[in-house]
Amino acid sequence: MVLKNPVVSGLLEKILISKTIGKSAKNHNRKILFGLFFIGASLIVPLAIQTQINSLLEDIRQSVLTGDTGLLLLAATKLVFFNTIRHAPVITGAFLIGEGLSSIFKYNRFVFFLSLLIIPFVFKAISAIYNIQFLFTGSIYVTVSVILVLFFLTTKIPRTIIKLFIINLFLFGFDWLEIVPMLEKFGYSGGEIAKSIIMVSGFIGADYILNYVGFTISLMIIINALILTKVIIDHYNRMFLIEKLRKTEIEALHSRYFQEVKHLVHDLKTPLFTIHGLNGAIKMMVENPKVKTYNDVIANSVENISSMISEILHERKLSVIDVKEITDFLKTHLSLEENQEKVKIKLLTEKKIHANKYLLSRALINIINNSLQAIDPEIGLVQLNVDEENGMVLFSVMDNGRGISKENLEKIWELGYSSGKSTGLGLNFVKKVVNNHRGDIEIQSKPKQGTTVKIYLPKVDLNDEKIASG
Amino acid sequence: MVTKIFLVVAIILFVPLMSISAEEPENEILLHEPFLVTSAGQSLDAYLVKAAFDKLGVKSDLETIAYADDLEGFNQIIIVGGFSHKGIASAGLSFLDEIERVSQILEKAEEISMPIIFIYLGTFFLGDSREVNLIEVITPLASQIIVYVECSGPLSYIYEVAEKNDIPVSHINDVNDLSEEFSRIFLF
Repeated sequence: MVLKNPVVSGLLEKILISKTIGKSAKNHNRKILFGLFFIGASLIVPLAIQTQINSLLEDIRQSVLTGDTGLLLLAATKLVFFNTIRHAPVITGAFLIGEGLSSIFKYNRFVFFLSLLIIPFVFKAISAIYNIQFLFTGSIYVTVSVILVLFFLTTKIPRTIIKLFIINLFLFGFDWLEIVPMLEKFGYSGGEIAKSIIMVSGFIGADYILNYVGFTISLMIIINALILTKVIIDHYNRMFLIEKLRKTEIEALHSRYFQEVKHLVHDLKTPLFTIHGLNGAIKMMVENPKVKTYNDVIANSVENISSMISEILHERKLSVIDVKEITDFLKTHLSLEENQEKVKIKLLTEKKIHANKYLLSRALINIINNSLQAIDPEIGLVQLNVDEENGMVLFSVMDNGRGISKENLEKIWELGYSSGKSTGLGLNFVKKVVNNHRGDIEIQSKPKQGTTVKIYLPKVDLNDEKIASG
Repeated sequence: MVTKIFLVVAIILFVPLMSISAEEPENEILLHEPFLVTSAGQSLDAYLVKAAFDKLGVKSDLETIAYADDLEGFNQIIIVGGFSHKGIASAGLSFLDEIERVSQILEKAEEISMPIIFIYLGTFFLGDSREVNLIEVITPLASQIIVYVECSGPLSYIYEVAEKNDIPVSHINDVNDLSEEFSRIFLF
């Protein structure tokens, strides 16, 4: 299906991105578990490849006795392969645990760095279990450094599997350098077998070939890993840029839409003025008291519509109103909504506030509608209380719905954010209205327990009221 | 007169320099074929030694896990020291097995007055105390010692024991050209 509407397709894309990002954030526990699994596996791998290592030693011995360069090269290739098999679960496990823990704790970079300290401990454990020297060689030092750099570069990339692929590709590349005789004097190759291969290469005159092969293959793999890293980072940067552009687009459309509505509302003024004038003329012309009463009702309604229009056109214009006027307006409008019987309104104060009645009511309706969407149709309940708290008038909308997760709570105010059922404009609009009223808004939610939205607005004291009326 | 003084000064200056730069004469070791090459510690060094002899066309028998009884029929034994975790493990031995085996060979060789040539290349020495243990067992009983001068192993200990027991020590300068070095050290 091709979506022709750019707003709708943009919103869908935005929702998909938000879901992907949210999904990754939720997975930290799973990451830690997988990390522990890989660490566990790394303790078993040396046992599993013991036979292959023995055969590799035999290849090296034979290459010494026969002077066979090909056999030594084969042994070197096998060693690199087995080294990567032994190193990969340790590196993967430490990375997963690091990523998992860093999403839980506050100082994520420091926590990630600390998590990598698991690696030397695992190496020590393997050495102790198998009574071998499982050394922290050059390839591990370089790979750990690359992991740290990648962690900083790819913080926003949610796909851990891609990052793991890149890291292990680097590891494989760096493991190839362990068989390069030229690097041995710098202490890069620490393992006994790697040292043996390098030693034998000198003995049978194969050091040139080993240098060439080791460097070439390593370089090819590392270049590939670098290109892949660049492509992935660019891809995600582009995705984030698209997301940002979509947001701006939505904001622009939103603003344009309201401008159109304002023009439309403004145009209503002319026929209203005509109705008002002609209604006055009719009232003067007729003697029938019943008709005069009707004239008064019409005049009153025109007055109401006129004041509503004025509030829409001048959204920053606040008047002193009784909070009861807001709740009455809400009751009238909610009576038209589906599930309105689920909404209970409790007025616990009679205070006055500076408000744009129409916009504030629309904001509250928005919140109530969100709550109605979140509750269970059978047992769900939405309660609006208007009360006083800390010298402010408090509008609190509470529901016993499905709630919002901690990760999504941080995003709900973003323009375009949506749980999937609405346009994603609602709460952003609510926040703007509350800000225009010099108020505060806060939201508390627990998944499967419900959500409470609190709007604090300054109440009108007596002096303000006098100034307003004066 | 001036010429004489000049000559005296020259002699005074050059004689010590000449003694410094002159290489110590190598001990030449006479090889009596057939001889057995075995490993103490199962490192790859024993294979390097065998390959060097092969290159020189000298027939040697390599038995990395030789036992005391295997000495029969040989005139000499060359023990190549060097501990390898991987080598010991792949041979299915423990370190205690290995040290026991080496001790028995040394004991038997002494018993039958067979010359023991101890070669220590130390190419894979990673500071493991087990390699030092092996060296401590072999060195005092060796008839001849050959060491690689640039190895990272405990050479000072070897020199000390050799001096104490009056054991001649020969040197290998280039482990990559072992056959050339052997042709200098051994008399075939």
